[in-house]
Amino acid sequence: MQEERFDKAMQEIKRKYNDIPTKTSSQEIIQAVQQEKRHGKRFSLKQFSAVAATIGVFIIGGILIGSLLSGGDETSQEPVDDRGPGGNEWNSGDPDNDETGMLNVPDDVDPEDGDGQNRDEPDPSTERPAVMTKSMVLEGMEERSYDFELYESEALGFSTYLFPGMELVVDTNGNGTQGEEGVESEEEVSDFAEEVESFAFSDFYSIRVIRLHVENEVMWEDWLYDTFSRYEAEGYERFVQDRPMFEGNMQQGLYGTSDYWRYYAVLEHDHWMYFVEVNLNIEAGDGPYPIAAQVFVEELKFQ
Amino acid sequence: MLEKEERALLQQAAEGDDQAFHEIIKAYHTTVERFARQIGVREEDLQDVTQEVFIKVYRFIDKYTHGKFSTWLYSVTINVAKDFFRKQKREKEKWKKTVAEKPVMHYEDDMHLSEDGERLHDALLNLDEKYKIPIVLFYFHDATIKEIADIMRMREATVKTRLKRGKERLKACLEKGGHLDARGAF
Repeated sequence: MQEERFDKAMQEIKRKYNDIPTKTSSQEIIQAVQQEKRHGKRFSLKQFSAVAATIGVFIIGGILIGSLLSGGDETSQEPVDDRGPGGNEWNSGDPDNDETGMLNVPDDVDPEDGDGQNRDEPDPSTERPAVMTKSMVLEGMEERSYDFELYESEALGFSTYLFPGMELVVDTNGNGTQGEEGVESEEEVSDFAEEVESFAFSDFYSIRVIRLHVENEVMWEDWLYDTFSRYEAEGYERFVQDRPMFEGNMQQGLYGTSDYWRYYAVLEHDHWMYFVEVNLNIEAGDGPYPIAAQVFVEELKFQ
Repeated sequence: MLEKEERALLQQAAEGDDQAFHEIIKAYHTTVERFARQIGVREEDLQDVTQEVFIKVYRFIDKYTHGKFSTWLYSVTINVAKDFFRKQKREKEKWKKTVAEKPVMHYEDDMHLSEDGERLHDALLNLDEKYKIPIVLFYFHDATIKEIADIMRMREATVKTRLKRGKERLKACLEKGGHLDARGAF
């Protein structure tokens, strides 16, 4: 009876929706598409140049700060970084290391000593300080310190540092959005994303970590292909980076829309692949978020 | 539109045939707009969302290679709608800081539903997206479990779970005569 009542009401709603006249005329859509065609990509080269210039300022700033720090201990950063002073600044690693597949890393390259950092070396998170203070100088602003808090994921077996105010959110739909409930049951995780944790500061800045158990290279390539196809279906375009966003031997890349940057990085530990996706609103490019994202990825340690 | 005919049109559109693309727009724009409305896009944004969906389809049509076109179209619509929800949320935050919040307009007032229909519709509008999208696709667009799984890129078992839970919530609202907390909405 209850079922019948429900079905009847749903049928009624469906009928009513179908009766609503369409607001958008096909002609208007055709005109909009033609306009798009005439104007080309809305995310213009000019716009990209402006963002690239801003990023460039950060890079130069990072290098300068790095130089200043190289001889001393001016930052209040606690000794969690085993790469020495300036290790977290925005001085990128090997520029050739942008889109190369991690599984395709040449045999003579050892991911564990490429930059003097051994990501896979057992490093019990208990030995990591609870807080890592990092100073940043943003364009036109005074130097400011941020306390990054240690985050340990028992479920996904990693630890890293989170930007102040950034919190773990429940991933409800495989897209990193926040849900109303607690952790979902295991069966609600997608086929590929075996385990997911999402972190958000705001709509402007969020990160997802996906851990996958990869049995073979083909499976991994399929997963990546599906992921990037999804990005493109979402309207993201792939951008070639002049320099890698994240330091270290890892596969990484950049996608973007007119509103968002989406960086990704791939790290491997034992038989696990970790796919990290950083979503950054273009308007947030001038803030501390790009550096916060670097800290998140570059400070990742696995258990 | 027959599947064979549709495939031919898509092929022509991907090769730059504008007329073929126009035919695709004509065939699907009502479905896109209706679906966008049902998953919670505001009336004032419907035209923009519908246009944006087809602009994205136009830009990425060469990337569409396999599967049902409608499945891909629904996925694109969900993603475009989510972009609008994000913008809407930002707008809301700005408004909160300045003047009173703008009322969100949905099409519920003019639907002239029965008491049960109104109650259920109200609950549906406030249902969390993870339940709302599968419910809308299943009940209003006659999508199969497999199609919903393809659209939402999740396992069929997950779709079943979400449909079941979503339905339970809606039924509960129907029984109680109340509606879900608006926090559960997009």
